[in-house]
Amino acid sequence: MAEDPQKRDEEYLYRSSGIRERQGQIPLWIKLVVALLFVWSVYYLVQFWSAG
Amino acid sequence: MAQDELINRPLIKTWLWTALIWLTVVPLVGLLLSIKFHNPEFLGNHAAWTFGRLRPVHVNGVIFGSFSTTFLGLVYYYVPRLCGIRMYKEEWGWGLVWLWNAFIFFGSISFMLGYNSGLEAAEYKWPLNIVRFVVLGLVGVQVVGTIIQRKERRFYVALWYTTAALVWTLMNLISGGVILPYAEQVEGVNSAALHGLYIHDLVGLWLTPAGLALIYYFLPTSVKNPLYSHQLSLLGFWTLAFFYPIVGIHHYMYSPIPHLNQVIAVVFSMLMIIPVWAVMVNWFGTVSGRWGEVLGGVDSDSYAAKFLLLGAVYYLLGCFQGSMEALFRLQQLTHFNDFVIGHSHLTVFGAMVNWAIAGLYYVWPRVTGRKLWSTRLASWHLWLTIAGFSVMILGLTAQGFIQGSMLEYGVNFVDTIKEMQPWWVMRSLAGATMDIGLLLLLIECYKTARDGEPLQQDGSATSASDEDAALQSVPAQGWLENPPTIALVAGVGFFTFAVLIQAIIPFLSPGTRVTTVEDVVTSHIVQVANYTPIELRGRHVYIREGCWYCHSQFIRPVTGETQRWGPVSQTGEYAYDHPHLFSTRRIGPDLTRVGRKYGDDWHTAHHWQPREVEPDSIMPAFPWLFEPVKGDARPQLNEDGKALLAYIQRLGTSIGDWREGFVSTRVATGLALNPSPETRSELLALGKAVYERRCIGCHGAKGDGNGPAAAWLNPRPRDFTRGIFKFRSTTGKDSLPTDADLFLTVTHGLWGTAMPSWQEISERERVAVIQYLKTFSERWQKEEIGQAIILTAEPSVTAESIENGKTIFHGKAICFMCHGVAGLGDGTMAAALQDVWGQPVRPSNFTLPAGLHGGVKLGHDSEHLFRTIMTGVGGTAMPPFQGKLTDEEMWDVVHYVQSLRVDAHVLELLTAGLPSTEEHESRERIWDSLSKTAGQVETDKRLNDTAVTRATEINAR
Repeated sequence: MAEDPQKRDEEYLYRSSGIRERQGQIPLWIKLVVALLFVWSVYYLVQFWSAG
Repeated sequence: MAQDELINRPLIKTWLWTALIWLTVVPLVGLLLSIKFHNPEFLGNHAAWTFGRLRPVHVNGVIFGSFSTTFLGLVYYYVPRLCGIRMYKEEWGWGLVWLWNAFIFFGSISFMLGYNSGLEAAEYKWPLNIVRFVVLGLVGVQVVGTIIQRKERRFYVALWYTTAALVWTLMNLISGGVILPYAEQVEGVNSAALHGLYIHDLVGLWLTPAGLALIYYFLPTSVKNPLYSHQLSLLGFWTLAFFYPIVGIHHYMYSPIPHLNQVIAVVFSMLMIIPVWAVMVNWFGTVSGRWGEVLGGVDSDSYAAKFLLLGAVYYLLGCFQGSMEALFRLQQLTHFNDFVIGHSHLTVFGAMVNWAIAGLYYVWPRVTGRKLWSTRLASWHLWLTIAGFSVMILGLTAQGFIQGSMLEYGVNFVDTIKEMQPWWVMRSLAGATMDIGLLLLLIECYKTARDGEPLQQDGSATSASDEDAALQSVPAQGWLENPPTIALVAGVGFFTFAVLIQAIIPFLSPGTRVTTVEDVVTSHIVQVANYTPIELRGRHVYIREGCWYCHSQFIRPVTGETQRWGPVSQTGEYAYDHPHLFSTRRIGPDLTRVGRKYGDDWHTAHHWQPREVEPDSIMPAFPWLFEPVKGDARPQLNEDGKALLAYIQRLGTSIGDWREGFVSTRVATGLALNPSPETRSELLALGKAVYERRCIGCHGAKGDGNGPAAAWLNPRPRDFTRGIFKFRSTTGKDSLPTDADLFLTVTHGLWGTAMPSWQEISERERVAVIQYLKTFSERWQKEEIGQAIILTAEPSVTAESIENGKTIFHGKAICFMCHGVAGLGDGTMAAALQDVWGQPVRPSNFTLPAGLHGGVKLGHDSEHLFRTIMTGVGGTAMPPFQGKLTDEEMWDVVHYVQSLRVDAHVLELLTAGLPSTEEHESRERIWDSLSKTAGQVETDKRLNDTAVTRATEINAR
């Protein structure tokens, strides 16, 4: 995951289509969402599995 | 190579012309279907134009016609451009485009002719499945061949999704087109589990990745900005690839599919938030800094971008809705109703189809060489889509909550359908608005191709500047974004993993393949019988007519469904269901336990013209299930019709005689129901309204039992004008019943006749309609209601009591003259009996289970039988025995009559595989379900005496 600002702004050009693509990054808030959902998943799995 | 030399413009144009036809026609079919919801007679009673036959035309038409044809056409545009070479084996495209369109056209015709596999979104029969597989397989070869030979160093994200979509879908089509319809081992619950995966993979692993490929290509090209983040592309793709294949079972929550698999489906549905939010950030980041140009632009690229962004918003909403509705609690409220239809439209049309349309706006001028003919037309298309679709989605979502809440609250099912009517009208108007927009798109494309101004084509990409050349210096991609990793790990690997977890492991679990159920009366395990040939034929008719699009077949243990329809579904009940018919929608009520709920006569009338029986019904009529008739003769069911009834009457009966003790109809009204004259007067208006909505079809406007459906019914509906009623607690022959008596009949229904249980309507409505039906006869004004009989305490059920009852039955009371020696309703007098209207009546067969024609009508429970013996059956030859028999003698007869049913029930269980070691305990439990004093019964000896005789009798029937 690119955190280096210079690397983050790197671009690549797809010549035959003209599309440019930034290396970019994954925003911190998305990472938090990912972490929270994984924690919730474990909780839900355990909670409802045992409820069945 | 100049960009335009990479593509075959005539080929793409041909694909997109045909796509435009499907984009216009198929949504119109949706509009026709929508109109049928509020005008069920719309398009007449022709088999090919019924809801059940047109629905797959619309659903498959949108998936494979409107969206996929556009997508495949666009593949021939963007894949060569992203690879820097012409499409591999490009000439195949000419054959494929016509083959694909032939598949959709003949597939649609086949649905209208009744060819249907019975699996939602996998309805096509095998010849069409082969054509579809061949076309997608060969397109896959072309795409992979082009990727392998590509000149572009990097493998762009649109190609990841395209590759994976083709790999996933080819595998998924084997699941839906081969395994599900043809592997007979995959039946019942396992059929549902695999189908859950299939149906959602068609959306999640075909429509979604194909749609994402389109937006990933056309968004940066149309807004002319760099794609925001390659890192987000990676996160979005790999999380989608891992999560999405696993979620499908959320279509069948609270079903007998193993609970753990349902929980896994919920968890992964929620995890889908990750890829959705990742791609959303990526797309909106891509537009950053260009919003003014995009929203204010009036060229074709701007409209492409607008439709892409519109689709992105709908995608975000639809996916969030999808994740949420998978949660157990929300599922209870929203599943089976229009909330789900809103969700599917939001994702499939709102996102995917709009992205495909965006691709059309971008590509059409480039392949025709002409500028967009009218930007005003494009603007109208956009705004009609926004207006119509937003209204439709908001409405469907609200409808889901309203109907779900009503059902959870316990409202009568048909009342919820009535409540939906204005909403459905609004949906039709909204759909028409959208369809007009699509028609404008067709006109736009036609006029552009014919009259549009010449377009200055894109320049050559090979004239890249030094700056561009520098941009190519970024290192090649890692292993996560190589074609083999995408195809093999994300494509084959993750798909196989999901099938293993959610289909193969459950299949290998013995618990999903049982052919036994728990008998609900005795709690013992019994075998489920396979379908008889006529039931199987009926099942085929049920599938052919698309009954399963509107009627589910699993009762959930939530939202009061067990009170509404009967005991919760058991795995073994589906043992011989191939394919399963769980269904995902309830436009009509669940049919899991409909067997024996209504008589055959009611079903016959209902299938001839549903609104004659139930004025608020929106079910189609099925005249082609009847023999042709001349003149005014009443048509008879043909062989298909009879088979369908045989299948329907079998549904839900494998778990034993559950209806006998169904709590919802075993109401105790007591004698407290005695409204004051003022209250009765107040209730009359309501009673009239209830009568006209629910009773008039059979009992007629005048209450004379001559409603439009009456001619079909045997016994005929009650004629209220004479004020004579069968079941009463009042003394004297044909005495007037109490309100409580009528309340009991209305609530319970009369088994084996067309009179259904009205336990689902409110108590106030039931009391009100009783007041109204009393206005049809002057007896209610002229006569006093007699004294209610005194129900003496029931003595213990003993062998002596039963034997004494038998003696009275065959002697003093001469019951056998009508009811027969063995209580089968076949006494010597039986054939000659008539009621006071001159209609033949048949004495009850006491051995039959609840709901069968010819059996008892209000149950085998002690109090009801005692009351009936004491007061007789009004209007029939069954006399009141009050004064002729002592209370003790009447109780003995009650016990004997009950013993006939108990014996028959035990033998039914033995026939169904009940071990003889469990017979005694089963017998006791059956007795307990009928009599409060049965604890002391000595049953063993009696069974030995009668079992052989009874078995012979039952088998003879």
